[in-house]
Amino acid sequence: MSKKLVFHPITRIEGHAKVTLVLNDGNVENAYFQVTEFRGFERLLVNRPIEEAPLIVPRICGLCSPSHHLASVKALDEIFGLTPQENVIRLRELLHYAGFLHSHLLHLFILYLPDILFSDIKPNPGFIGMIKSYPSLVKDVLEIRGFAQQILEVLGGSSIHPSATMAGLFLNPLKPSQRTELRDKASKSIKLFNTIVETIKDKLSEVLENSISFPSNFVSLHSKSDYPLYHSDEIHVISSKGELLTYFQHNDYLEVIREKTVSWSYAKAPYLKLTNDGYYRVGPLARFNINSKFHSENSEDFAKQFLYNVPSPICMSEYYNIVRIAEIKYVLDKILEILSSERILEYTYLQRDLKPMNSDGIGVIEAPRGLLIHHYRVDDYGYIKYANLIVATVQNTPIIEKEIIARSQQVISKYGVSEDKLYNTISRMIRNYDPCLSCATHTSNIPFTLEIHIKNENKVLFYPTFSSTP
Amino acid sequence: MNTKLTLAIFPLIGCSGCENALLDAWRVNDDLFNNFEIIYSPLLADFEEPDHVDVGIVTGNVRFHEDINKLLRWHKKSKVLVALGSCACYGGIPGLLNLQNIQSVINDIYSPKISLDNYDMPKLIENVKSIAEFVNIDIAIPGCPPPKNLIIKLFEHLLKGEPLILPDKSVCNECPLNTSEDKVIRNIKRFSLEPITPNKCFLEEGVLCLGPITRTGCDARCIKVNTPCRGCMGYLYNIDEAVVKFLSSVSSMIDEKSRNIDIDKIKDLTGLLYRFTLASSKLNFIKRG
Repeated sequence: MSKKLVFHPITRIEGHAKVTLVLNDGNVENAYFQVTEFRGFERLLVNRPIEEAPLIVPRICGLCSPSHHLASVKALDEIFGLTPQENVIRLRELLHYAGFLHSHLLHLFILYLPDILFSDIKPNPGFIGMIKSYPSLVKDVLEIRGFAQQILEVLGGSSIHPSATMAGLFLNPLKPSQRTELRDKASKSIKLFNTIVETIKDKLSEVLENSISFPSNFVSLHSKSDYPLYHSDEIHVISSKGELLTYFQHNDYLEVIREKTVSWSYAKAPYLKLTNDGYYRVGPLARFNINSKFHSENSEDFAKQFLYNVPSPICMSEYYNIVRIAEIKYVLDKILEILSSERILEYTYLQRDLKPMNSDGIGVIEAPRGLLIHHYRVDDYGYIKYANLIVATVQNTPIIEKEIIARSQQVISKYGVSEDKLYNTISRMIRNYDPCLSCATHTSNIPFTLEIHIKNENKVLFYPTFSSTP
Repeated sequence: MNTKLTLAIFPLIGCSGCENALLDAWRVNDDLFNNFEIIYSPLLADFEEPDHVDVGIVTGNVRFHEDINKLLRWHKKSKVLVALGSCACYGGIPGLLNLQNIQSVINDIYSPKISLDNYDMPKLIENVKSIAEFVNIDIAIPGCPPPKNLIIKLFEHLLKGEPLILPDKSVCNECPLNTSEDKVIRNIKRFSLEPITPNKCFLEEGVLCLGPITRTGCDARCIKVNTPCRGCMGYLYNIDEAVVKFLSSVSSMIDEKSRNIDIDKIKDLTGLLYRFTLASSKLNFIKRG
C-alpha cells in the first residue's frame, strides 16, 4: 500500500522547503524535494532599465548577493560591448571572493557543522548550541566573516546586497589606507582559518568514512590557468566517470541546459539535453571534479590531505563540505594576493556615454553554490524585455531528489521506516548541497523563439534558436 | 537564573539577507547580546516553534495564503513584534511583481497542463503584501538589508524595553555629497550610462536619487560607494505622498532655461519610485500581462 511521509520544514538551509516521500510496501517509490516559496525576479525585471538590474538582482539571495550582482554586471558588459580593464576585474574578483568567504563560512560552520558536533542531540540546537558549547570557535568564525563583511562594505557599501560595479566600471575604487588594513587582516584570517580547520579535522574525517557514492554528471566553469570562480566563460560537462561530455561557451548555454516544469515545486528542473538521465551537480564538488587544481598553496596542501587521495571524480556529496573548506582557503589566498599589489590602486573611475551594442547579454559566474547564469535582452533604449536566470541550487534539485530516494531506501532496509532516522539522513544529505531556495524559485521561462540580433561587429555573439518548451 | 529575553526569528518569503545581517551584527559573549537567547529560527536550529516568546522578529513578505495564518499566529505568540527589513516593512522589491497579473505570470512560467494543487503546495495570493497589512507591528526596522547599526540599536532598545523610533530625517542629512540648499537640475541622466562629475550630488548631476524622501539610518551607504539612493529604508512620509513630494521637488529644481531635459529617458518611474514600497502603496496600479 502506498504511504506518504512529509518532512516539513527542512531546517538550517536557506529558504522554505519540504520533502515528500512516497513509500510502497517499504520501498521508496518516489521523493519530492518541494520548494515552497515563490519570488518571480525574472518577471519583475521586465520593463526596468538595464542599469538597475545589478541593483535589483542581489535581492534574489541574501547569502550570495555579490554573485548575483557580478553575474548581472558581466551581462551588462556584453550588452554595452565593453571589456573592463584589468583593475576593474581585480576589484570585482575581490568582491566575489569576499562574498564566497561570507557565504561558505555561514554554511559550513553555522548551518552544517552542528550536524557533526551535535549528531546525538535532538532537536539539533544548531548555531545556538554552537554559541553555548563552542563559543571560541564561533567567535573565530565570526571574526573571519567580519573580515569578509568589511571588504564587502568598503567596496560595495554593504556586506549584503552590495552595489559596487556597473557596466565596464567599478564604482568605488579602493583607497591606499583601506588596502593596507585589509591586507593585514587577510594574513591574519589565513592563519586563523588554518587553526580552525585543525580543530575540526578529525571530526570531518569521521564523517567522510561513512560517505556514500552517488554518481552524476557535473557542470562548472573551466580554466587551465586558475580555479575559475569569476574569470572564465567556458563551461565543461563531465560524466560520473570523468569523461568530458561536452564543453561550450556561456552564450551557448541554451543549447546544452534545458529546464522543465515539475508539478510538485515552485522550482523548475534543469537537465542536460545531451544525456539520457540528464541530471547533474553544480557547486564546489563540480568545480573541483572539473578543474582538479586550486592554484593556491593553502588549498593545495589541504587538498593533498583530503581530496587528491580519493578517486576522481568524487561522487560523494559529503565531499561538498571538504571542497568548500579548500575553496575558503583558496579565496583567502587570492584576497591576500590581490591586496598585496599596489597596482590595484591605479584605477580611476572613468565614465563614458554608453549605448546598448547588443540586444542580449549573458553573464556567467561560479556562485558559492554553483554555476550562475544571468541572461537579459534589452530594447534599443536599454530597457529589459526578457530575463532568464539559471541559478545554482535549481540545477542541483533533481539530483537531490534522486539522492533522497537512494538514501531513504538504505535507511529503511537497515532500520525499517523510522521517521526520525529518515529525517536526519535526508536533511543532512540535503545540507551537503547548501541549497538556497530563494534563489531556486526564480521564474524561468525559456524563450521559445529566440531572435538573433548581432549589432556589435567586433564580437560575434551567437544565440541558438529553439521553437518550443519541453 | 535565566533572565535572558527570548527571541524567535520567524521567516516569511524573503532572501535570508535579514538573518544574515543579524548574524553580521551578532557578537559572541558580548554584554548586549548575552541578554538574548534565540529559541526559534529554522535557519539556525531545529527547534520547534515556541508557544510564547518575548521578541518575535518577522522577516520577509506575505506571498502565500498560509503566510497570513502564520503571521497571525506569531503575532499572538510574541510580546513584542518586530518587522525586520524592507520586505516585512513595505513588501520589498518582490512587490514590483504586483504590477503584473499573478495568474498570467504563473501560467507563463509553469506549463498550464500541470497543476500545483496536487502536492500540497502553498497557494499564492494575488499581491505581495507587507506584514503591516495584517498585524500591528511594535518596532519596524527597514532597510535592504537592515543596517547593522540599527540592528544593534534594536537590541539595546529591546533590552531597555523602550520603543525604537527612527530619526525623522532624510538620507540627504547624512549624505556627504549634499552641499547646496538650492539644487538645480539642468538635464536628466541615466545612472552609469552617462558621465557625471564624481563626488557631486546625484540629483544636481541629473541622476534621480531618492535621498530627499528616504528615511535615514543607513549612513548613506550606497551614495558613499557612488550609487544613487533607491529608497530601501522607506520614506519619511506616507508612501504615495512621498512619491508626489519627490516629483514636485524635482520639477521645482529643474532649471527653466535648460533645454536638455528629456524626462522621457526615465520610462520606468514606477519601478524607481516604488522600488521597495510598491506593495504598500494605496494606489491601484493597472496590471500588465
